[in-house]
Amino acid sequence: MTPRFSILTPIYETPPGVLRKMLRSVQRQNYDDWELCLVDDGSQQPHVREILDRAQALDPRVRVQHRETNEGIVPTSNEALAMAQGEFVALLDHDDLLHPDALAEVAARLDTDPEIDYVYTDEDKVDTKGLHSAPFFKPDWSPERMRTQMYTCHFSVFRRSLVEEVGGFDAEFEGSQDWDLVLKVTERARKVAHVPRILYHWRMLETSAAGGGEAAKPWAFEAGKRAVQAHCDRIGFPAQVERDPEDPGVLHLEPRLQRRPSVSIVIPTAATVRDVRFEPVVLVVNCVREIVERSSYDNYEIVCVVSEAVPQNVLDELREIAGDRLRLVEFSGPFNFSEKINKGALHSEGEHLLLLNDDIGISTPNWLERLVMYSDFEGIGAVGGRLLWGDGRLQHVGVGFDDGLPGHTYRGFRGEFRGYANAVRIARNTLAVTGACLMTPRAAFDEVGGLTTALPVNFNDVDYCLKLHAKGYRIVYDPDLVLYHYESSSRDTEVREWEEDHLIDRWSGLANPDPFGNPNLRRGMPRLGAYFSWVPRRPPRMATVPKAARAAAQRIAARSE
Amino acid sequence: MSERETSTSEVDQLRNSLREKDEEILRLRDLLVGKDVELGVAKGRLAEHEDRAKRLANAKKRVETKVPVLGRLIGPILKLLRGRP
Repeated sequence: MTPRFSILTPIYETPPGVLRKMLRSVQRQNYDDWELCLVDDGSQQPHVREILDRAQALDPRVRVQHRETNEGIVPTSNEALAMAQGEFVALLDHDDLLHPDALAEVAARLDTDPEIDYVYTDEDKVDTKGLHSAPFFKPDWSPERMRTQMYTCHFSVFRRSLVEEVGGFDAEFEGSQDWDLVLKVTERARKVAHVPRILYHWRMLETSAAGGGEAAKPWAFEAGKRAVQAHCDRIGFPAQVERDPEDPGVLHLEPRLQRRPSVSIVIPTAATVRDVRFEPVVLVVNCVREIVERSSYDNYEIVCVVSEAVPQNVLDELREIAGDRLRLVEFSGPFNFSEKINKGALHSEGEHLLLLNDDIGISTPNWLERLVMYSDFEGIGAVGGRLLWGDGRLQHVGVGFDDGLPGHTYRGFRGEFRGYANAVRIARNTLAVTGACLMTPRAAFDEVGGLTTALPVNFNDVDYCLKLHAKGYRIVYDPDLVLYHYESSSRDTEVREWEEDHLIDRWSGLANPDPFGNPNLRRGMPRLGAYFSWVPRRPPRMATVPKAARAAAQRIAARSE
Repeated sequence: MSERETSTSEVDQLRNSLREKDEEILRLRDLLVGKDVELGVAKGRLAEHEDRAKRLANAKKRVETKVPVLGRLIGPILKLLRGRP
């Protein structure tokens, strides 16, 4: 399949050098079947008309319209969309650059599956001197991330029929009309694809969002918030959208639950005593007390799966704290975390199960609301949060995979660390979250048969999440659900070789490579060589462009006849 | 009677002293928690630097493996740079 791409580019007062470079980057494509739909939004500077008209005269694939008055980016983009004849439309800003392989790579990806309706690629920034920086290596399609960060951004290519179906660009979200469009299109898209290669260079000018941040376009970020709120309302996601006080490009979702389903909190425990904030406590007692005293959610029960060794006074204390909410389930036999959880689930009644370690401390009062917000939403199989050690360092922000093996990204980093591209502060889809705090719908738990007892100590949570992923469920990391995990930070869990082998044998097809990572990232950070990954791998075919352009135009004309 | 009065006042004194000590322990524990968090920030920074250092070391190793000549040149160049005031 060789689809024709219509590249939509609204133009307004673009500096001559920048405009010429943009045009040249399209004409140097290693793929011929494209048309460039340029709409000048009433530029006053004479060079704009001159450059555009000349480009049109030289290459029939360049089509230009001039507007007499300046009406803004949305009407201009819609006019460009109306000009489009290609099967796919691609968005290119007037001061940005396309990599020579951009269209060829996207076409190759589209060729792999006829159901793909939206494709996006990695991107970087380029300054006025042509220096590249800030590469953005993205994960595969992550709907939860899209609700808190416009991460797909450039280079975006949509099936034209779908863009028209959703009504094109919406003036209500001027400045973030592309975020709104991606949300609307992906609500209906059959498949979304990602090309993990830098194929778009976003120009850093003081007047652009890439260079000037919020100061350049303050209204755009507010429009982004409104676009996501409108999306949540459309799909029935029970959340109110808030802006991040520090980073204008990050949004937060606050639960606005329509219903409050029952939750069973399953806590396996051996009544271990450990220092919490320099005071020895029975972990399970501390955990249950904090749940009861700090949670604002009311529809829950606590199912403690207790080992035989748990003393009677601890059980009495738990009953006293939790009252009727408490259910005690006895467990005998050698330690097997999976068996304990499965047994606890059998003795519980909630619509959602929360797997919780007894060394967890609650710091977010609406933690259960947050978990339910995701767990109760269609398509989500498991949700976990941001876990901190007692000294405030990061313990868990979602599980990432490198070479098929799971690991805690940014483990031991400062609590304030925001991660690569704000990864710690945005909601994201991951392949797995830790079983130390994991909420899952009971239906999903039953569907995949609970936790595998073949993994009694390590990776049972990862295996569970991968089972869900294989069934098509999404796993979510929620950055605003902050809990303390009083495990010893100096103790590395001993992982046995057979456990790793078991996981790789079972899941390497799904988890290697990690679809929510990127080939250019390792342990959540760019590889050193990744900064040069934009360098063209084939020489641009400058000299042959006009000839190829004429040939392509003749083919297009012949096809339309 | 007077003995009993004395013993009552001693008990009160002891109670007061115990309460003060408890308060002091709480204050010191809070201080300790605060210091632990400060230490956590420092440890976190260290972890970040160690991660970066590991990446650089890996990159150096890769360059040395792929281009041995360049690898042999890097050492003296770094030494030369380090020797500069």
